Amino acid sequence: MDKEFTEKVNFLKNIPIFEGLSNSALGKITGIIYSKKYPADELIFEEGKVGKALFIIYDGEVAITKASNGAEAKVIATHQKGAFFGEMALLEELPRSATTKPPTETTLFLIYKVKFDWFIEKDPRVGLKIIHNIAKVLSARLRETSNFFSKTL
Amino acid sequence: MTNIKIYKTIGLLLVIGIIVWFVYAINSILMPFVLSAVLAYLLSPLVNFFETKGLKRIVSALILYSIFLIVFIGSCIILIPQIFKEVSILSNNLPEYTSSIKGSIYSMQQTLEAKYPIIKQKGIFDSTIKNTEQFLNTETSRIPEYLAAVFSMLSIFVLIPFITFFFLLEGKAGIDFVFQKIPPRYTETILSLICEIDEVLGNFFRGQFIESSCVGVLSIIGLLILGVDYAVLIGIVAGMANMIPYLGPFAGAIPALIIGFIKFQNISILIKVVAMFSIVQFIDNNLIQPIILSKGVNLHPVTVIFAIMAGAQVAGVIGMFLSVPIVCIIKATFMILIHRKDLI
Repeated sequence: MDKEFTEKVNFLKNIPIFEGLSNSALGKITGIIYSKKYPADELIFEEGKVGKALFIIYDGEVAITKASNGAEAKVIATHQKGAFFGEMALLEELPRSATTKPPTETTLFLIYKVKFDWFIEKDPRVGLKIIHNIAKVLSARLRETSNFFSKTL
Repeated sequence: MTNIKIYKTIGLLLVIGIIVWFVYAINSILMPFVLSAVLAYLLSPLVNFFETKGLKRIVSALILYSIFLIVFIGSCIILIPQIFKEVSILSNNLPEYTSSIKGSIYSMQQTLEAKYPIIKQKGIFDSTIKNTEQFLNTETSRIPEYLAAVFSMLSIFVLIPFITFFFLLEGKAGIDFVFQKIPPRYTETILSLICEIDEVLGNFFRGQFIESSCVGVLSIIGLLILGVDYAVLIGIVAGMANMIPYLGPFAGAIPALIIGFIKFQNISILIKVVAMFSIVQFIDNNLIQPIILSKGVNLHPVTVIFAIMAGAQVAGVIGMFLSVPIVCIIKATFMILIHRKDLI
């Protein structure tokens, strides 16, 4: 068995959107993943630009920044290894809601929408499971946002 | 535009110009490499399949080659004797066919000249027969040249599996290398290009391959039913010709019409062969294509015809095969770079 492949599968196993998938399904997902190393402070994506890919942090960290009312952009969250962002790009082609940059050198896994759609078409059972997991993540994030706003009221 | 940008643009145009000139200058030796690249592209999903099972790429490629070797040898055992038999019968029967055609033309000449004396007065038949004989004599004397060309083709076909193997092995690493080298801010744009071109080309090539195989098999069955000789040979040609959109089906039917007419010596076989190929095309257009979605290239028919003719002009038969996918790549690139400026 290829060592690099086993490492990738073991890594994906712990990502919430791939929860409950078999090793065989995770193996298939490695086939649609692209890996890219980003130097520190290099732009990953910019707020307002249309997003078409999901990003998973394989190594390093990523800062999410947002500018409001013309003020300087502020870091609103920092994601570590194993976190993912840009998952809404897999569902719809809309502008990104924030800007992301890695504070240190970071390796990201990218899943492009066209490849993801193709994967769902080829393997609807696994595709449905992933969509279900994405829905669970989005639902949890929506609940967090609602709680945050209810506290600020 | 700043000076640096202008210099960069001029530099880029110069590099593109040099690449185009270089490719044009060496186009005579490009064919095995282009064919290998296409083959490697067609086979890569199978290697990827083994890779997603945890096997190393080289092991996956070797497994694939072993499977193909077994299938190839199997096909040779089944098909080659039949093809050789048909070719040898064809070459043995050629003199008989030639005199038979002459006989048919002569009887047709007699009938037509009796009905329309003006044909005899103008000597239309005599001059046509003389020109045809001259043409046949010239072409027959060039048979050794054709055979030499066939041998050079065979050497290419020995070369292609080797080049394909290395493309299969290193192709993905090459794309990964380029992907790592592009500036991060263009990552999503380049990824769009890679994925969308892959989607369009993958659909096109794999679809064409399946569709042509189906057309080939259906043509062989149809020709066997009609009793036309060399059904396997003609069916394979028809299947391969079908890879050229619009023009291919006509090109595939011509050998069947000629061989059918030679054997049966009547017009009704021509009608039957045309009807058979029409039925095959009907099945292809209404049953096979909708299932495999092969023609989902979304190109206007005029664009396709223009591309095929331009491909033929630039690189002959290979150019005809590759013209549509090249136009697909150009279209996908423009779609991303022009209509989706927001991605850049």
